[in-house]
Amino acid sequence: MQIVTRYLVIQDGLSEFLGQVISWLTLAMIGVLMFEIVARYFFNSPTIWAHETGTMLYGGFCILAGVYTLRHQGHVRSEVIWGALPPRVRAGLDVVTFSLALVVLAIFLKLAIAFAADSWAVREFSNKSIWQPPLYPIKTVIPVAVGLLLLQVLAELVRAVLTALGIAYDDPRRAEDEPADPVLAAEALPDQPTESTKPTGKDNA
Amino acid sequence: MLDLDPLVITLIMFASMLVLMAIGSPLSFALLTCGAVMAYLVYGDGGLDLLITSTFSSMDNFLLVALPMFIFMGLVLQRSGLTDDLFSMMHKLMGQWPGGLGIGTVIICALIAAMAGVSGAATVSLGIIALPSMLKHGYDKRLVTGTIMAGGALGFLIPPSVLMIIYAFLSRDSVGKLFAAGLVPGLMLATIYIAYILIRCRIDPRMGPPATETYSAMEKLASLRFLIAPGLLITTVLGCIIGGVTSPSEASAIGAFGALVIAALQRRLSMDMLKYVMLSTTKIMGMLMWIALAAVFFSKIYVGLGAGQIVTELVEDNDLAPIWVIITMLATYFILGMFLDDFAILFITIPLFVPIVKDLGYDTTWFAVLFVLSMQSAYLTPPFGYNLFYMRSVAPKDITIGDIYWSAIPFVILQIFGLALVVAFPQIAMWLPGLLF
Amino acid sequence: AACLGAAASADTVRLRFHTYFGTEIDDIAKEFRDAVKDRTDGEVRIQYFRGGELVPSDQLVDAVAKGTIDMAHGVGSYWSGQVDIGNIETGLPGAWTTIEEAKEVLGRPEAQALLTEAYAEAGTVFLGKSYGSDYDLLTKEPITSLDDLKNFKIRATSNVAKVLQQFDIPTVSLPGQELYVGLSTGVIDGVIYGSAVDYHHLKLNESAKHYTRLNMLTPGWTETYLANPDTWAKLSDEQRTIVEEELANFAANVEAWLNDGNKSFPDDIFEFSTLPAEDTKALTEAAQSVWAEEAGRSERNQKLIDLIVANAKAQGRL
Ligand code: NA
Ligand code: NA
Repeated sequence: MQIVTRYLVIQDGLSEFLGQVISWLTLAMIGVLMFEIVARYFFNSPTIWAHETGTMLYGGFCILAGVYTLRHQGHVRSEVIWGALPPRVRAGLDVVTFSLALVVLAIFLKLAIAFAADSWAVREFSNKSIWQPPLYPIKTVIPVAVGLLLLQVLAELVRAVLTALGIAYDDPRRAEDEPADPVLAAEALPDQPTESTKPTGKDNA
Repeated sequence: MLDLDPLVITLIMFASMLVLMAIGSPLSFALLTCGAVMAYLVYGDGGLDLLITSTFSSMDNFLLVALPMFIFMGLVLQRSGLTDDLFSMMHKLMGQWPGGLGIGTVIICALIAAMAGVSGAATVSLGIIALPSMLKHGYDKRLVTGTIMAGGALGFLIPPSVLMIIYAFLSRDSVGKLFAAGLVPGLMLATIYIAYILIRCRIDPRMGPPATETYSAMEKLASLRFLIAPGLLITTVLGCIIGGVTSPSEASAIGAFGALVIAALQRRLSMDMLKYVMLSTTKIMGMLMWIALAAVFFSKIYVGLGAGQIVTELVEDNDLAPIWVIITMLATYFILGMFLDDFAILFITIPLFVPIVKDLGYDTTWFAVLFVLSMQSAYLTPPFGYNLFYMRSVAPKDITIGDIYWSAIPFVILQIFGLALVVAFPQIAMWLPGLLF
Repeated sequence: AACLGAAASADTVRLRFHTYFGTEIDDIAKEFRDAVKDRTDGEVRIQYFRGGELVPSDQLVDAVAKGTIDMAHGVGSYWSGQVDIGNIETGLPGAWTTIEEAKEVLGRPEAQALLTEAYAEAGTVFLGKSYGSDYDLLTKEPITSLDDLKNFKIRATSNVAKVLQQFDIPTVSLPGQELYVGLSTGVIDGVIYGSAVDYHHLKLNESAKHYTRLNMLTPGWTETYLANPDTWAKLSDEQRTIVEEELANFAANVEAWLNDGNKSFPDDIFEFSTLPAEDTKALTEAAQSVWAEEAGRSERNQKLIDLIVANAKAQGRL
């Protein structure tokens, strides 16, 4: 089962790397909008590009971020029933979930590639402002994000299948997602709030 | 291509989604799967293409840029020790009153709500800081957990609010107007909580015994300095939006930048902290975006199949008085709130409800406030309530999940009371936007 | 709900018709739907979707081509990034000054052929056009000349913004839903967005009362009707004729609603004034660079611009 572990390390590593890189886009968004505000109010010369650049950074950042979210099991799920089941049954249900997701994402990928290709074919540009930037780069991000998410879903499916079948393997993520003891979690939280508040991961902001 | 009755479509789509969610599918995957199956089997040519249209329109909206900015800002403030400072201030100022720490907790919740765009920020940080302290002072555990969970939910009502930004994206309302409309009801709800704590502690002082530590007037005065930074930030961000200095998205960037400056001035800004904030923002936005595109897709398939008309027709056929239509919608929200995520409820119902609300002649800004007020309860009603989860993850072991559920009930009743007030007196919400714009 | 289900028999064709309008023209749309249903004995049903309900207005062409919707009612400038001719057919500053003129130019067989060709390339059937109304400036403070605008922030899009920039007038792009708050709080000082009816619909008169006729472009926009080729081919000849005739009625009604509304607009809601003739002339001249830029996008665009230039010369404006 070492080969599975190696595969999971590589796949998780890829999604982790993506998340680490795109997380800097948050600062880029702040920077672009602050630049616009300063240019407008202090130098009385608003830019023509800041709003659309900010929007494109936002769109690209968020859709790619979904891959990192899945790698950290951060996509919100209802644990009312699922959470009460024994681990192998849960894994069995996950096999259903991730198999369906794989099919849907494959269709999504095909559509997204066509969508981006159409945009490249007419060299599509935006007509929202006088800046009129090209739209094909941001549209190309969609198939990239869907493809990367598909790869991470595959890794989740492999985990679920092995667990459901009761096949032992060494999950590189196991160390991260031990269910935290609430008391310990409370003490650890000021330093490490991410993992212990995990029921949703949505707004531990 | 199947030809189905809208009622059948409604049943299939919602039932299959609930089944997928019950077996633990992430919400975004459940919506994507159900939407795609219906698109393929029932919609006909081009139904699946709505997936890509929905995706791009969720990515291509300047309004939504405010989402990561407000989340980033909240995370920075949470990590810069702001809650500790505020709680120690409240402890010095109000600790010696019966129930004083509880009142202080509600005030801190309102302050954090005015800085963070999401709910839950206050629940987590006060659950860590205020909860143990109040328990140590002998406060009733159910009063304490209830207060923190209800106060924490204010984040979406008191501006800035991520939920309102997305509502505006779907209903084409103005973000600034929605923010202004949420402020007074938010403060009203906080006041109701405070009044409740005062009354409970007056009737039974054992619920919230006064703290024994005493502080000099100088110490109390000095502790007020902790209000300076949050005060400045709140005034700047809300001033920029409501005063029309900048668009909400730009104001959110000022807020994020300002939070970084405050953290730096307090010497709490570090590379570790910055990385934590950036990565948490990434994780949260990845989840939000994929729910958004999936839910937009799901609701467009539903509307496109003509099933959206069923809602309109039900309203027309039953000849209900307009206000009963609104009350029915709010009851629907209460029930959905027990099982579903607030963003799912938003994305699925708002495209259906808002046209009806408009047709009935009501103001959609007012309805936005009613919606967000309903979602306050959704955070507290079992079995699916975020603040219940947060509380469980931070509360000590001797507070059982049963305690947490019970503690929520009085506050849910107070929330329904607040909601009823805004239904009966729309001016509570509409007065401020009317005054400003 | 029950009647919807029962009536959906096997030979009923349902056409998803998507407009870019919000609720403003609901009554006109209902008339259109009823007429099509009655005249086809219920065999053709129009399912009507308002702006943004299924697809955003800038993706209507794509949605018609892919079959996501069957028919679209939109404006070319929204999708001009995809269809080269979009901006020109919508109306370039100085292109025409009356509805009759716009109808005459775009109604010529050469122009219709260019439009048909452009939309066929985008995978759709071009069904026809309808014509908008006034397209003027609304400001918080009164203005008497272009010079007054130099200290104002004006919300304007694309080609109009390009022309204003040549006069050093700062422009901002802001979504329609933010116009009300933007004007009342002073994020912007004025807008160029539509006609008095549009401004009144958005309640902009509550904070900006000064309506200045620019005489730069009337109608300020034109609308395009498209169909999915497969759906269109599936209809019988008779059904196609009925849909086309009722679509023409629908278009005429929308046009009349806008133009009658603007002609009989009460005087006490806005303060109306008109830009001096020399400023209008200066705007038209400045617009020539925009015309040239649009013409440069493709041979087809060049042909349509040639038609518009010839017309402007014939009218004595160039
Ligand atoms: Na808030
Ligand atoms: Na709930």
